[in-house]
This record gives sequence, C-alpha cells and structure tokens, in this order.
Amino acid sequence: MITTETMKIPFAITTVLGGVGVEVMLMPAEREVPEDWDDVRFTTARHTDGSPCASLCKCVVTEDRTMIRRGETVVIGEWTWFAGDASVLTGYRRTGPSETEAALEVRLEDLADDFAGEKILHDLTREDLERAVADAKRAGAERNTAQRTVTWWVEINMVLTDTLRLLFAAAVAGWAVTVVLGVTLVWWLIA
Amino acid sequence: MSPNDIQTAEGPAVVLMVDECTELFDTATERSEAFERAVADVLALFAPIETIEEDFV
Repeated sequence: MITTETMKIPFAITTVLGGVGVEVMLMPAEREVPEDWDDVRFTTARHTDGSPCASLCKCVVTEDRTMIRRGETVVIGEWTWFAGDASVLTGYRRTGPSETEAALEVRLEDLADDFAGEKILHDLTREDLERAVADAKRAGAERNTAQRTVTWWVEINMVLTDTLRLLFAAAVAGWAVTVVLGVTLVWWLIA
Repeated sequence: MSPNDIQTAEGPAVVLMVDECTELFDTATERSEAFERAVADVLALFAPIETIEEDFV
C-alpha cells in the first residue's frame, strides 16, 4: 500500500519507501501529450541538490531550468529524474540503506569478524608449523650426528678386526714354523 | 503548439512545464495510479539488490 504526501510540495506526489531506502517523487506536467509524439521535453527548476524549486522558493531563474527529454534520465545532486512515456516526471533519491543492504552490511560485519578469527587461527597454525619444521630440522641434525658417530665406530671396529685377524694368522704361522723347525731339529739330532 | 513549445533543428518540440502543475489528472484515482506506476518503475531499478540477497542467503 503506497501512501502519498503532498505537504511539502503541493504539486508533487512523494513517498518514502523505507524498506528500499528510496524517496520517490512524481511531478505531473501541465498537459497530457500523446505517447507517440517524438520530441517531448520537460522543463523544470531544480536546486543544486536536485530537489524541486517550489513555488514559494523561486530561487532558480528561467535560464537555469533543466530540460529533460522524454526517455532521458538526469542526475542532479542526490536526485535522479527520468521522463517516462507518460506526461510525468519521476524522481528518486536514496534516503538510506534498504532492508537488504542493511542485512548485507550486518552480514559483511559478521564475515569480517569471521575473517579476523580465521586469520588468528591461520597465524597460530603457521606458528605451529614453523615450530614443527624447526623441531624436524633439529632432530635431523641430531640424527646425522649420531649416524656419523656410529659409522666411525663401525669403521674403527672393522680396522681392529682386520688387525686382530692378521695378528692371529701371523701367530698361527709362527707357531707352525716353530713346530716344523723343532721337529726338524729333533729329527736332525736323532739322525 | 503551446507558447512554451520550441523549434529545434529536428523540428518542433513539445515542452512540458512540470513545476507547478496539478491539473494533469482528472481524478484522485488517476493520480494515485500514475504514482503507483512511477513507484513500480523506481522499484524495478532496485530489483537487482533484492536478487543479491537470494544469492547470499
């Protein structure tokens, strides 16, 4: 249901659509012109903010009147005026956010809060990951050190084993030579 | 032609004065209907905003 107000400007019809955040104003022409006429122009006095220069005002001189052709849309200040096919001039201006825009603003604030929360979580996760990477690097370095130590001991053991094996072989050989020489000496003495 | 009409390079142009006219509509019903059409035209301009809501919900 549209209610009209005619108090401020008697010759205009105006209403504020709060849900949409728009004020609409209709200004009838002095006469009706058939819609199929080619060149129809509306002449109107407008303040710099786009509002009509009402009959008691008369501050806009004739030379400064605005001419709007039928089918044309003109933006003056905060008002947008367009001349439709009928012999009327229709204007509108925003009076505030619509219900949808207000809801979107609330949603935008909520999303901004969510984003801030996600950013904090992201920072904490990144710190955890950086700490884990540092721990892994430290553990890798310790493992490499331990591996080098073990490798050194294994190499030392291999050298010692080879040395012992060589000494044992030499001892066995010496013992065998001694036995052969001893037997040979005994045999020579008997003979 | 009305005294206000003008001659242009393309031919005569009808000039409608709108600032202080109250005689266009014969009845209050015509006046109200014209205004409802004007409001509908304006609301149509803001219809895309309403569709955005459906995308976001």
